[in-house]
Amino acid sequence: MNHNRRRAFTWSVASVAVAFAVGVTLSTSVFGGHRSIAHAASVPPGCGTLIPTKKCLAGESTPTQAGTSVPAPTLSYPSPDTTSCGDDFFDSATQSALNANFGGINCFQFDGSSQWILIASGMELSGDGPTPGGAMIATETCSASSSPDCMDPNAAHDPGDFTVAYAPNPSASEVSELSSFDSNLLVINVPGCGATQFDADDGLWYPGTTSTSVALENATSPAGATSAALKQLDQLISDTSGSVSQAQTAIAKLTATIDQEPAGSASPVTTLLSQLTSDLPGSVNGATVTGLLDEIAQAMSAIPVTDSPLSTPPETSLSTVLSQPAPQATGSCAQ
Amino acid sequence: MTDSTKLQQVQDRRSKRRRARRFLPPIAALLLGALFPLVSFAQSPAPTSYMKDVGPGHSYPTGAGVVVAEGGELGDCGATTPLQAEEETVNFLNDNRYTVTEVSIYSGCGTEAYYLNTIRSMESYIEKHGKNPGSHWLGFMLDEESGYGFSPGTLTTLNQAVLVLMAAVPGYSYFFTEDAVGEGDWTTAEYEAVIAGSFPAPQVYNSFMVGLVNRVCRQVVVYCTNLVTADPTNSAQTGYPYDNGPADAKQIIGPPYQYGDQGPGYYNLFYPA
Repeated sequence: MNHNRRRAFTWSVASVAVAFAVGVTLSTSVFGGHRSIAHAASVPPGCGTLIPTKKCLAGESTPTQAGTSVPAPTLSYPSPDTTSCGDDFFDSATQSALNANFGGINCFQFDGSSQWILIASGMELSGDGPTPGGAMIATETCSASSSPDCMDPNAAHDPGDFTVAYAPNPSASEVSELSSFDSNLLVINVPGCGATQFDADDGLWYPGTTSTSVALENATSPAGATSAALKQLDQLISDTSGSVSQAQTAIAKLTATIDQEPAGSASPVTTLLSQLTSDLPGSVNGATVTGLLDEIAQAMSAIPVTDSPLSTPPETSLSTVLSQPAPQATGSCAQ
Repeated sequence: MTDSTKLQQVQDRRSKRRRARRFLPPIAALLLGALFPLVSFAQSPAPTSYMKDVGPGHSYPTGAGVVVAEGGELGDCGATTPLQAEEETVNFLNDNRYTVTEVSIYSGCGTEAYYLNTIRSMESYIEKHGKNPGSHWLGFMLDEESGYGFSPGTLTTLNQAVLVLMAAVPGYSYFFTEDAVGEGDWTTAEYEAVIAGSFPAPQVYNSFMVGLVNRVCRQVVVYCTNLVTADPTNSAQTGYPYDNGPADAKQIIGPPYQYGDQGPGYYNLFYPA
């Protein structure tokens, strides 16, 4: 009897082990081994449903083509590289409080700037929902009166030296930086508001982006569209390396805008644009472009800029909001 | 029927039950073994190569197997434009680099039609000017996020059009979907539909995305192959627990994205343009 039980036990253990191994092997080859049930053995790794097999095959013969030289890309308004805040920028308690109240943060400084920028997403680190404090951007500007270590990314910083600007929709989560212009303008995606600008110089949020083309599309009035174009022209002028093609693009957009104005509203700007358009690209040089654009900008400066901030100036320090984490409405998505 | 006959029948039934019970453990083990790969949390093989994003004007990222040329990230309203992205791509290709071209699909800066037209235009430019695009241009990486304003239905339509476009392009050139979904924004089914037919490159920055990617992998095993995208920037400050490609890959089931026969697989490193 004991002998029979031992045999049965041995058989059971062996059969369990073999069955488990067979199960793993079968399952791996079918599910985990890069292949689906629907795919034949010849289908290469990584080829899921709808992906053409030829996109996964190794060693497929492809036509050889010599490349043609194209210009290196240049940015219209590049931002400098950034330096990230170091591990000891905030003490561990502050860091924990920041993450708990404001979610993931991105802390950096544009090289050459004297300002630290901290963007808080408003989303829990787990990704499971909004944080109690909402989304915000805090800035610290280093000056002569600041701590001598203010510019050091590895030195300890006092959250009390940061000023908090809540997002126009402060309860939004997943707030993220999309792009930047120069060392001060950040293009931020604020769910519920769309793309907005944050100007680190004044701590204010503005609607839309700095792009003329989008601003033109979104503008509800010629004056608003023109003011957007003016911004781009201003940037072109400030950039002495502004190319002829950039100027042409800006002029084309500006002309299209002015064409939309009511008949009889032709202004000196229209005349200047006509002159500039006829001069380009001919023998024009950078100085001529810059000079003409400057004239246009001056002529347009009388047009009121319709973009007004979405928020009021920030006043609250980071240390204060860390002790009272609750989203504060200091503006709204709509102007 | 005699008592002895009845007794024999009862014994026979018990014997059959005993014999049947002997097969239960191996059957259970077989099923458990079959499920084992689906409950193990790690990409296999572990990816050791990586792609890395760079913005226009930046040089090739040392150490990366593939460069992802950021650009056109905001359609027509960003610091980078589609023109810059395609020029960046061609310059990398002409330097014999394996290259992907990234485009962020952001509703605030362009319509679905705008993005499709732009992608078509960029494809033509890159195919025309790039060196050996069939073998070195891996195609587009579409950064599609639930917070970027397009509905999953619109993104699904766009992606299927990109699929048709890129499937007809000679060579390997195809497209990735570098998606990020916020809690409750899309259903698992919607995410499945958005990534269908692409090489998924999910932004695995938090536990919610880990769960979403693994749920899809369990439900639709053919989408198990993922190019895990990690955000290594400023990791100490962000606080996000997922900031390392190989470590993130350990949270995801299924195999990593592989390009041809080059190594055991890839992960992708985000870097702001």
